[in-house]
Amino acid sequence: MDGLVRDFTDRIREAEAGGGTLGIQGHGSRSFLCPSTAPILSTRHYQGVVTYEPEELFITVRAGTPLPELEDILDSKGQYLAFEPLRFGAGGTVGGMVAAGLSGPRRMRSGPIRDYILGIRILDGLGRELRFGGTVIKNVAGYDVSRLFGGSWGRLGLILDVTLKVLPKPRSSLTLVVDIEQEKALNWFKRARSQPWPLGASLFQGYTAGQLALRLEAGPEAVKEAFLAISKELPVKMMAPEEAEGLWRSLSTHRHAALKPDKEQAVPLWRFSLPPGVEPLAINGELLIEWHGGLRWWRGLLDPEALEALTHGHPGGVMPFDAHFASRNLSGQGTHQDKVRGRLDDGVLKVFDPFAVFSSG
Amino acid sequence: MNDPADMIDAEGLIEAMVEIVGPEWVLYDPEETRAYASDALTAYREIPRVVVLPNGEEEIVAIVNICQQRQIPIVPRGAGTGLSGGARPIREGVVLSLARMNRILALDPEAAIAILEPGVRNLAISEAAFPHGLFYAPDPSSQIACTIGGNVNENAGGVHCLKYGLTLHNVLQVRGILSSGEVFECGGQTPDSPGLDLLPLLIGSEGMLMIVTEVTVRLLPRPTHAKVVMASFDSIETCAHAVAAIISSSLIPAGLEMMDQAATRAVEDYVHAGYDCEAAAILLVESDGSKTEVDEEIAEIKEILLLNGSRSLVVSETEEERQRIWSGRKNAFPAAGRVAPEYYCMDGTVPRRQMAPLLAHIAQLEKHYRLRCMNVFHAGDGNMHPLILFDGKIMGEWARAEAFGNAILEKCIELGGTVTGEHGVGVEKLDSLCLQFTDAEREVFHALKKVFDPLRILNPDKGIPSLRRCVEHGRKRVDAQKRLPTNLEHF
Repeated sequence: MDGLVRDFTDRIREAEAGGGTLGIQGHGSRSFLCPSTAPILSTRHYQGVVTYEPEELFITVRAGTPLPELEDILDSKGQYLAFEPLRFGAGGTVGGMVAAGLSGPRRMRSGPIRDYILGIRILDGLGRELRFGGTVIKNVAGYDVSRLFGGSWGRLGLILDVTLKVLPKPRSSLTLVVDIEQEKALNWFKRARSQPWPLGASLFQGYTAGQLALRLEAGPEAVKEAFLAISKELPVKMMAPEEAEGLWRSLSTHRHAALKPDKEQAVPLWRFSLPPGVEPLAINGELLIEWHGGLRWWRGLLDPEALEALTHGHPGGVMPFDAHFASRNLSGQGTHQDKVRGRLDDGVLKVFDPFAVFSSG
Repeated sequence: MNDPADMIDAEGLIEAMVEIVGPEWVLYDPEETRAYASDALTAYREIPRVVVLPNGEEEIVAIVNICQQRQIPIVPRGAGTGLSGGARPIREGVVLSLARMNRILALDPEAAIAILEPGVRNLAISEAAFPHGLFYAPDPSSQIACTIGGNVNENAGGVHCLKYGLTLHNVLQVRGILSSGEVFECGGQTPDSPGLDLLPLLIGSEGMLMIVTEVTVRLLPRPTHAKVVMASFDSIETCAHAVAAIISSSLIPAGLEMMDQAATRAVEDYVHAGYDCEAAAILLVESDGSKTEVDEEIAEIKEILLLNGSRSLVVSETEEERQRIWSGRKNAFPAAGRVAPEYYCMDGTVPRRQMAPLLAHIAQLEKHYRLRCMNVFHAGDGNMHPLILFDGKIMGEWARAEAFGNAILEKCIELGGTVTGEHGVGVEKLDSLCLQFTDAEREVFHALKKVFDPLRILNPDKGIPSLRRCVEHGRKRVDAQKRLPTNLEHF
């Protein structure tokens, strides 16, 4: 593995010296969101677990490790990645997962991926090997640099390995479903936020009316208790475990029928990241609403004015889930503080990559 | 009578400050500014030139603009409960106290968020959220006094962060003033915000990157029930082993705290919490949630503890009893203050399995430095608070206590941990940071500071040691590779 790190370092220094660029890639499963014309620096052979200590609740893993492999290893010890990462195709690599920073269905309960990054080892744009963070949960020595890499789309440097906080899997899981109007579902979440129910994930699918699925995750007694309490408010039914697993998997793998690209790819799929309490959007057609209202998927055509009106002054996180997704996300288009934010982001990028070796993502 | 301001205010700084905030909110008489000479780590003191207490963002912008033009350092300050000297003044500088900005601007139970000014006390957030069945989870032991602005700057933890996370995990958005005088907002109420995720950089940045003026936190449903188990052990090793056993089960307790005999005895004399003072160590394990959830977990916790060498255990049956058991742990620091004139609190963190070896090492250091040490830790996350007892009036004792503390921190790094889990680097652990990071890594820290604060007026000389300091102190981690010449400036 040291040989590979030397190769990476050499290629970065060559690029830096010759004014070249590099595009970091694992399996390329997320490259449809960040296509790059730069020569590829592949991490796929830099794989394997460096350290796994289940009783310490962390795992250190090399960037090229396939995500499903990591999940199998954790599963063998009854643990998991609580943030339920969003993945595509065969699942991609751990490095890609961190760099994209895209969370899956459990986002509102678990927090984003970056909350689980405890430490990182990188090669920066000068080819320097740097380590930040560590393996312990509490660590305030120096600035919290390792978490900056969550959602950085490979612009800050090459992730060699990452230490992630892992947790015991919930002991039981139960999915409830109910037919409901969209507005009523969104209002129900407003009340649910102050209830002590172990609500691990939620999905509304439909238009003005549709179906709401709620996933409860905790010890068996607590799940039962929450089921009984929710039953008093909504006429919920239990979903069969296999069916439920398929449903949530269709979200975490981005394979739900409503998310699949249309054949001509003429109509974009929009990803609305909004404050969860925002009212139903005034748009026609089927929606998927995850994250208790915080994430909404919709396929259709929107002009900028319609978009502004729709997003209630929160346009920043609303964009098509397409080839420009990563660059739009990083540039922070549409936020109200473009100037200051842009200057700080640029400054931070230059700290790690002064010669823009990784600038093309 | 001469106004002291005329004598020391050659540059008109005080006059300018008075113009911004009014005369009653500018302190310059050493009799008054003395109260701001240190934070809760009182060994590091400095009387500041002036203390300003603004009320509102506009006033802060005006203050920052003046300091920026004149290159005067600003030390932001909340309640001054910090334990690493992060709020120690700089002699020629301004202390910017945010104590007056203590309003809860909004509390939205439907969105389960609160928007706060920086001077809102930590506990006041949970008190305001209480009627809505919500609470703010991070609960540092100074929560009665410490402020959310300080919590953000230190990434404060507490006894419940194993289950509920640190400040970082519970803050959605931070707004503040950069040293350029510009307003910057980071994070947001949307689950994703565009641009680099700079929020983790700001949280725990010890006032070195910006002056926090507004914080949006997420509130969580308040657990309806909680119980604590107090378990006694005959040796530190068995106790540490029981901690590992709990973590390797599928439980995440709400709190998991350990105290050694020196700590339980000091505490018992002080608050009569009912601790077993004959035990070599005791463990407090808390479960919270619904009644059935708590009963289910407590039964499991009891079983694990008994299987792993606990010689006796007590489960709180009433809320009163639970509070009494916790009162001991929460009063460990004042209890230390009763058994010795002064104590020096460390904050190293090690992987849980290294707690017993670290404690054995501390026992040896006690003999070497001829000072007593009592140990309390957040065992669930390996965060240790050894309290080194000393008397500053005795020649050389403070120096010995400081050397003792540094030796503990060096051991923490050696065991794979970190020099500070939640108290921050401040001025206190600057030298230890030379050991934990390489020159290149510290260069990155300095360069990041420069992005936010190019003039270096925000709490300079805290948090990150200069390269020169690390060389002079001869405490340096060896680089993994030879350092490359870079175009980054050193300062």
